Amino acid sequence: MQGLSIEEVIHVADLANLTLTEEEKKKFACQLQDILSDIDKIVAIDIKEEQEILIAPTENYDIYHNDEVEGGLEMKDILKNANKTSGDYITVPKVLDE
Amino acid sequence: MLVPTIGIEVHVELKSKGKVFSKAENNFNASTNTNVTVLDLGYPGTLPNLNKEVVNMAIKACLAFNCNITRSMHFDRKNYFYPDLPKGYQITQQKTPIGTDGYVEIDINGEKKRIRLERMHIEEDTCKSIHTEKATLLNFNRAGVPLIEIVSRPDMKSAEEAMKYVEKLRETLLYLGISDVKIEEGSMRCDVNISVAEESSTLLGTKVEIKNIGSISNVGVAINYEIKRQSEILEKGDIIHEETRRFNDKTMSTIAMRSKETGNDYRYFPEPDLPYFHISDEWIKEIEDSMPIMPEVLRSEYESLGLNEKNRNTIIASKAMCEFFEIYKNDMNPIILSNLLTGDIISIMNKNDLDFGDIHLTRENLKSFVNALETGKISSKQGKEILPILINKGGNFEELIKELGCEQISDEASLLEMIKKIISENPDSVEDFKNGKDRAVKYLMGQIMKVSKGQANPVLTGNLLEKELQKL
Amino acid sequence: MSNYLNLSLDEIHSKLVNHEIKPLDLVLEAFDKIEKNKDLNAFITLNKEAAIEEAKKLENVEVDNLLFGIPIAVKDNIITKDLNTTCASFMLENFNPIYDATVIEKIKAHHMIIIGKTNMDEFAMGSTGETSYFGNTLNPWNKTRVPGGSSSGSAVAVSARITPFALGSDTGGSVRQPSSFCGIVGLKPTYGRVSRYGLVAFASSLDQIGPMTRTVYENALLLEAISGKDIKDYTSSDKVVPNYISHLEKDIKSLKIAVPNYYMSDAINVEIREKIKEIISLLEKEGCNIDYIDIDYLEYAIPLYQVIALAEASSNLARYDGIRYGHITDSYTSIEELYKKSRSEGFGEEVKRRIMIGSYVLSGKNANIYYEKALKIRRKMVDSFKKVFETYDLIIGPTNTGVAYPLGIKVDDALKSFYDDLLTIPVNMAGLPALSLPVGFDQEHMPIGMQIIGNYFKEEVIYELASYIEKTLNLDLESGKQC
Repeated sequence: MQGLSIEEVIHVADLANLTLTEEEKKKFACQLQDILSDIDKIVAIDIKEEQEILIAPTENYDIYHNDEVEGGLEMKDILKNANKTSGDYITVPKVLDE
Repeated sequence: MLVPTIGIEVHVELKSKGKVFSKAENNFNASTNTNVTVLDLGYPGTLPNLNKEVVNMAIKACLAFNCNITRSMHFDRKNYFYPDLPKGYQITQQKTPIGTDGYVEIDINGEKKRIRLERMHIEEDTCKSIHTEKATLLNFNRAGVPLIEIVSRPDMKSAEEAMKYVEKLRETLLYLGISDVKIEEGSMRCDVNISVAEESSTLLGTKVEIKNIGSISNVGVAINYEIKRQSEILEKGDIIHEETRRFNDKTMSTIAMRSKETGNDYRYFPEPDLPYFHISDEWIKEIEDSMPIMPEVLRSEYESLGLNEKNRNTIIASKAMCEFFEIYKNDMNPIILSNLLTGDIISIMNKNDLDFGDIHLTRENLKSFVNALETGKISSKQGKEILPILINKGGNFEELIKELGCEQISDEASLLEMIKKIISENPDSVEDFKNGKDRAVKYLMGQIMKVSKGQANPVLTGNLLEKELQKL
Repeated sequence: MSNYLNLSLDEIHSKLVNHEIKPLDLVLEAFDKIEKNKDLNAFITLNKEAAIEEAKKLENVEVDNLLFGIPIAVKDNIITKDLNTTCASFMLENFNPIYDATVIEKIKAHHMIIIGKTNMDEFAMGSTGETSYFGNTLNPWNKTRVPGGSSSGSAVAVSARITPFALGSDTGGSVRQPSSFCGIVGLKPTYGRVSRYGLVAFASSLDQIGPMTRTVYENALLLEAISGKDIKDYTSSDKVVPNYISHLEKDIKSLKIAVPNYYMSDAINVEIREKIKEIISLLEKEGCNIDYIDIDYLEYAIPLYQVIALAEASSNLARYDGIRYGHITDSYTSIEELYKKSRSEGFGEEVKRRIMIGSYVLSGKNANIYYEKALKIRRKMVDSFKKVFETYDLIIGPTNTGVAYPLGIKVDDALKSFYDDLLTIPVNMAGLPALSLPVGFDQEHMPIGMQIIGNYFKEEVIYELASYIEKTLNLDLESGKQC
């Protein structure tokens, strides 16, 4: 695998919703590369295409809850940790193009 | 020739009591941020549960739309950042949608056309955002409301087909009783994918997605606008870009939306917090046995009862009207009942802001009323006086007409007496009749009605009057 | 200063029953010890006022169980109502939760008293305690060494005898590795044994909360208290929770034990290997049947972890956006800027690196090349573990490749934290239970841990063996003496 380019680092930072300083970009380019080289080991493993996946090591299945309603949170709790609020709403900067 | 190819994705809010992954109430009308749990707020450490009723409802929809039902399923996470998405991912079914390969049939120029469904899956709704001048306000009541997304194949070729398809979905979902399907209120939302290409071409054109269409008629408007826009671009020799556009219902046009930096890289992966779930034959059988009668079955039944097309459609389009009609259709003349229901009854109810639960019509008084109209015991004009009373106050029909004194006079002897008197009092009209003037009969009828205070049976009186005049 | 917290649990319990001491004495002693050991930096938030109030309240309540009135330290990624839960991140520096995790409800129901929230690697990402926004924690055995991580503060609190009990969480070794470095007993239960509701998710399919204690007996007691089906966690099991302590005195003669060759390779510090071999001969003498075996796919555990754990983490940490809770940047003009600045300021380097890798392996075609493939190999690895347990009751080996190393040496090595977990990660991949037990010291008197891995929901068999070894070795594990 080739070394990670700065553009690729910026792309993955975007996916993770982060901005990086120039210094971080350089540092992460090397570090991410180290990890990705490691990860590439699994690409080489020979596994049948139809091999079943394992999502989580649980034997549980078919668990549901009934269609019942429980009271919601109190308003003070909903807003307790929120940074910006207006009346009963939590607010964010105006979002265009919903 | 340039022809459009249209596919539609429809999101439908299901009306279970609770949300899909939490026990907060699923209620469109609740006050702001009152139906919110820690899960709906996306708090750290919270885990989703699964509401079985949502699965029941989705199975119903699968059966109604002829889908194959997936027997072993898991959920997936769709990862993207948006303020209306509290967890930073939406729980959906990417890999194992509950339904696949279904279809619905629509009527196009008297022919049945099959629109294929690619898939149907269960997912959760996002917060409701309210955009003000300066900020966007988040209401978490809608976060976690159950949705099914129904994805068609690109089988539609015109705005008309698309509108009929959406209407068919709406009507069916309404009859299943699993959604309010109010497009205007957002409990049913349509995203249209449309491309335009040369008819002879085997390749499809570049796909453009249109979002935010708020009514079925605007589905048509948006499609026609887009067909025109894309055709003009192609005719100029330009290229259409794959993009998402938003329908603006003020300008009745579509506008390109800002494209997000990371595109559509949703980084789907299986949701580890919810184990697999399975749907057995028994479960499907149970749902099949509880399926309500579907609109297409009702439509052909109403046709054989003799209802006209307008009445058929009006009744079937409203579930409440249809339920009312179903209760009484076998007890009285269904044609008269359908006329009353789609005409006077509904307009009186609207005028007085009443629901079917509020009105005082009973099997007895409605049956007597319809029979009286059918036999001519009362005139339709009298009917219009009586009906509001029956609806608002109710009571016994026979007593009511006696009270109002509007029982018809159908006794031939009494009618003849009146007719003879009127004829003798109006020699000019008799002369006119002899000279072949039709309005003379109408005038004389009017005089009889006046004298009888509208109680004379009009059909019988007309026949008798004609006979008397012929004698002269 | 009193020293009740150094007594055995049974001794403390009988003093409480006899009214020789009150829960308040224990609570005040714990806070005294925290003050005295301030340099260890084991705690992020103290629960002093509420703990004292609770202790006073308990004076009028009947002592109804062995854990009654006992102080406990809780890792700061377990949600506590009205008590800050920071995950050792600037992102959640002031986060004051509005609900309790299920394990917190359970320990409260046992009338245990929460002393405070312990330091850890940020969002449980790290193996030294050094990625904490609140500074690193010191190893009480040698204050120039790391305590291990990510449950660093919990391990130190127990090791320094500040509290007899602590809760940690283990995603790739985060309970067992610091337990081993600090000379305490730490268990990662079977996936689904303990509810994850209220555990701030790092990697949902790997995370488990586990008990960290001075002794095997105390570990078994705490596990029993926190285990069981929770309707709020669909991955929690409805299997009956055994009475674990009834298994502690059992005869180990008939046990069949496997030692993976991979766990005794040259990658493991030779002193540790020698120590494990000593234990093996001890067990053989007692009549255990021990074989060296190979387990397929073990060598892929780290890349699997890098794909699966980090992919899940990238998604689990997407919710921190500065809107509903957590750090928000000072100035922004758009939602995009709000997101990116808040997250970039709120998360430390290790977290950023990991969620970037996680996003990468799920992005576009990579989802198939890496993620899907990893889930297939994971199934194969589970199958090979299941095969081992068809023949054997337990698997044993070292917990770590080495003992606690000096602070600061590996801070910039992006791979170090993964390779520290070489021997613990396979257990999380398979969802098996495993315990780290102190079995001795190296030449510099740093503790060595042995790992005992059990079959699914067979924690009692682990305890059976661990209890025998503990009793036989009878080590002095009180690190506080050096302080």
